[in-house]
Amino acid sequence: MYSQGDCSALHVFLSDESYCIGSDPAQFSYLNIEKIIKTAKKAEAEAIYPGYGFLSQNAEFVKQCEENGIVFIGPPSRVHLLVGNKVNAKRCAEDVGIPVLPGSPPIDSVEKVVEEADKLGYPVIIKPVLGGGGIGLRICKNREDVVDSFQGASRLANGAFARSEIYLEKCVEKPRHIEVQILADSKFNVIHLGERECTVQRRFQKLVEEAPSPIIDEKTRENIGYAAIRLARYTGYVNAGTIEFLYSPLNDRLYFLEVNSRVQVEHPTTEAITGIDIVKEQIRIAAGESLPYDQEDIHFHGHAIECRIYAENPAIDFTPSPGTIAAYIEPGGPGIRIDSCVYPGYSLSPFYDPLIAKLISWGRTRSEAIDRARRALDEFIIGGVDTNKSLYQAIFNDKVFLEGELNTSFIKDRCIVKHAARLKSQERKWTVSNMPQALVNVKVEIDGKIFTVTSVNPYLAKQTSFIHQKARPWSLAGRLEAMS
Amino acid sequence: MVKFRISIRGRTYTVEITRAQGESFDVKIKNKLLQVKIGKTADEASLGERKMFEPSASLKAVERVKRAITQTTHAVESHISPLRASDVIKAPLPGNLLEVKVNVGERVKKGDVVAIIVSMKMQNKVLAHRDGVVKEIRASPSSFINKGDILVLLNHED
Repeated sequence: MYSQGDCSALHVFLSDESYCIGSDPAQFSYLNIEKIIKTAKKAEAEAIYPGYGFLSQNAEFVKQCEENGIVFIGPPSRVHLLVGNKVNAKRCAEDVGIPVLPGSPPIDSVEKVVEEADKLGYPVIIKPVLGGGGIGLRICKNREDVVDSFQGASRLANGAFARSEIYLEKCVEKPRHIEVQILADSKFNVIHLGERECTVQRRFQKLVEEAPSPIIDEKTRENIGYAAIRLARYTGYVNAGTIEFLYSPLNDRLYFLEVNSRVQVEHPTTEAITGIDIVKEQIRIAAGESLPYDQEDIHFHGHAIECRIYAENPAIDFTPSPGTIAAYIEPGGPGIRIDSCVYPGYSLSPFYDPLIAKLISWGRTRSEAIDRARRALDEFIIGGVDTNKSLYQAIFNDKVFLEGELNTSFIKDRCIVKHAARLKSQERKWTVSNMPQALVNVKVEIDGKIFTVTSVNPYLAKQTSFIHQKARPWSLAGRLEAMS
Repeated sequence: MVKFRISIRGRTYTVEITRAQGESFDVKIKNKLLQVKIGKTADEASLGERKMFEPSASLKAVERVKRAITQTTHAVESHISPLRASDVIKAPLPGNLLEVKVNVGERVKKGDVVAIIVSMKMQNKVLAHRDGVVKEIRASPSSFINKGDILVLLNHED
């Protein structure tokens, strides 16, 4: 299924059948439940895979699927209703003995929001009751902030998830974000696939996701893993899901944050260290099959890091950069995986997310994974739009990041944006016209006669020697270490 | 073929589209035949004198007529008195215009937020590049705008 503007999207070309479901704005297409159900029936689709975002956590949509005999590849509607409402989910977590942060019931008026915020004590955080992905979250330091933020937060929540209720939660200062991946089949088998850490964020949007977390030891992993399993069992969870926790460095405790009842953007990091294809398991579970693994079968191997490459300019306040991809060459090599939807000539629409690609690097150790990610970033050519590549280069050059001493204000504290802007200014701009051509025709004169000679582009040759001269250690690290 | 009246700074002009073909229109104003080329953005429309007169083709979509009228208005306006770059606040990126934060006649300071454009699910502020008084608002909220579209005009600086 695609919107009008997405008619040139890669998934449209790759699928056997494709159906247009409406115009570009998401409310007319990807959020249009009626149209999607109608289209699925017309296509005689057995199942719908919702991905992340849009309707992937929308209980009403899942219910419509169920009523129309279409399998929704994800949790059933009763689970979405229960855990998709973050206030309900918190109550469930409390019931199974997971620590939660003090918070408010759902709120729909300015008067109420001020009253509840005063009761909790500042700083507080405003969150939409439904939906995930950090959309609509705001930290409020005082009463004025709360009033200011309330309307914006509910409008954003409404736009993104078609519901506008919000609630408050006590704010943890400089926390770390830890989440546990779970898989549950319809026969009450539940396993966890370890944790991911997504602490490096900017405005509540995750930037770097890694698995495992540098601060979680085996004992803690087992504890939060079983806490997640308890919660999954208690809520009757089926399919893949993520239980999110906040780690407070002040008292060394993990608090329940929310349940994400869908596959997450960062799921490839878990796939990299467990060898389990989460999407495949989702489809198997939806088809009614049992999990082929017990908890004892799950082993963790190495370290994985994911970067979200966005079309936005870190040098000018992360301004989105919709437009046409002029040049696109993906990096490769051991431990590198790219999940992307773009190709040269593809146009990134201003209507949707600026996500161009996800770069996932795996290494035997965290530092090897980082080295490989750096090399892959260096070799990743994206032209025509601005990207946030330099942001990741700045992060992977930072001493504090390399030591794994993270908190959610890492980006601000370490002036990462400033460094990214500097790196960005040195970046080469790739366009169709300056993409190097491998072979060029050169005219030469020998004894007064003109000959045409085909040669290796001298410009390219120069580039290669340039790279050799300035080879940085990590350009080679990924390979040399593997050989020793 | 299509006649309409446009008003620029209190004066009314009768404009006639005598021919339309593709993105190009012949426009008659004050007995002068001009060619308007419709660009993607308003200020891309250009005016040039036409010597040839060709039989008219039909205008199909209402949308195109509307666009032709707006763009002709802007083009004619720039013909009468060209817009100065310093008076124009343009959209820095494409997207949905969430709101225009200023009103006609309002005084703005350099750096004030004049409009918000939602692009790639981000709210992007459009800032005034100089102090001035808002003369005209050219874009309407919840409409899609292209990069470079004129959002707001400021009065000439003294």
